[in-house]
Amino acid sequence: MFFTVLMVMMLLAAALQAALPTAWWLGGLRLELLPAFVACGALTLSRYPVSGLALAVVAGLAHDALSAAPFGLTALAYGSAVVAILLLDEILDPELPWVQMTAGAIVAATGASAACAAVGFSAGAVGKLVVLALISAVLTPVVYLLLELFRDWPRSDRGWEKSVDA
Amino acid sequence: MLGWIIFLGQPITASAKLRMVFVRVCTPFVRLGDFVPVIHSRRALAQENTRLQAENDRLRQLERALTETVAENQRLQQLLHFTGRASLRTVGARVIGRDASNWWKTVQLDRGSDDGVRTNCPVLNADGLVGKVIAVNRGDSRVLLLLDPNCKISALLQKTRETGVVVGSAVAFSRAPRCLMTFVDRNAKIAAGQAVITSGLGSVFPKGILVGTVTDARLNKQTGMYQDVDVKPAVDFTRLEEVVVILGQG
Repeated sequence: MFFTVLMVMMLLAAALQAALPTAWWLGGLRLELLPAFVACGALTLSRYPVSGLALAVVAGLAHDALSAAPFGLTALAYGSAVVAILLLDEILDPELPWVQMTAGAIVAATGASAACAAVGFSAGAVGKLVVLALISAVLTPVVYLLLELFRDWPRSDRGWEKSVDA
Repeated sequence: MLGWIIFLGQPITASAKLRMVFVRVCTPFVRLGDFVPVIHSRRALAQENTRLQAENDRLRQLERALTETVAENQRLQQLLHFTGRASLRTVGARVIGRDASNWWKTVQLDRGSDDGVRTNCPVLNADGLVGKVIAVNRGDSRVLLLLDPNCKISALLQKTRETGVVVGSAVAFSRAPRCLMTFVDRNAKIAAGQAVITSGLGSVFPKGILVGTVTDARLNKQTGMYQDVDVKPAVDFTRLEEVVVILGQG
């Protein structure tokens, strides 16, 4: 159920990302929400690596479908980043904010690197990559907190009833 | 991963079909955004109706709607005037989404191949040239904006008739987007404020569409053989709402 909720939220995030205007306070960049969702998916679904990877690939394909990026490029980048996060899962605690921030930054930086490979590397492009990674680092703990609300849904109510009965 | 790389190397039709599936899945979510303001204004109206005089609120709301309709009408009339004057076969479209990425400058339109839109069709609005269509589905299409470095347009300076190529600026961070007109004769006299229009060469863009105005010019640093001209686009790309897609000559 959580996976379905995550998938729907991710598609909504992709649509929102495609509707957001560029922000002057980000130097003309647009907020990217998908890397944060992908990172959170990888951290929360670490026991089900295939689900985490599937979420990353679908997020990447949705991203590419709503942009002029070569189709499949972002899916490859997000997938690679999630594999790296899943490999580090044994030694990292996903509850720690700095782990969440690092995961978000890794996903965003990998996606931006893939885009750079397509459009060409330059000093400006590297600067953009760093800013996007920082934005995702900030967004990821916020998205993680938001997803926590849905993690036990719809069982959370029954749990509450049991604790009251006890 | 190897399998994925092989997939990326597949003939374009395989990935294009999969892309079309994803566009069809994602576009309804993009269109959801159209309903958000409606829900918001209804809520606001309900709150105001309980607090303030109902008649005044309804009139204010009506006035706002009328102002918006009048403004939209004026924009559409300007568009019709331009396309009618040039005797072009066109179709009007609304912008329903921007590019989800920060690396490409595109927008999504609500018109597709069912409406006659094809790849490379020029797109413009009342202010000037917007870009060209790069991908088409049945009910929607994607437009590469003038600002993207991949969009190259054969252009000329309206007053002096000097020719050049306008490309999107590759500057990563900029509040005011700029374009660059390159390959302009090194001896050409260029003044700020001069209009830049499409030259009609290259057979994609019809001749005479306003691209922008000159803001600065300098000799190319690398070769010194031609001038680079900074061009401020005529179109405000942050406020793109309605556009016209040119389907061909009338």
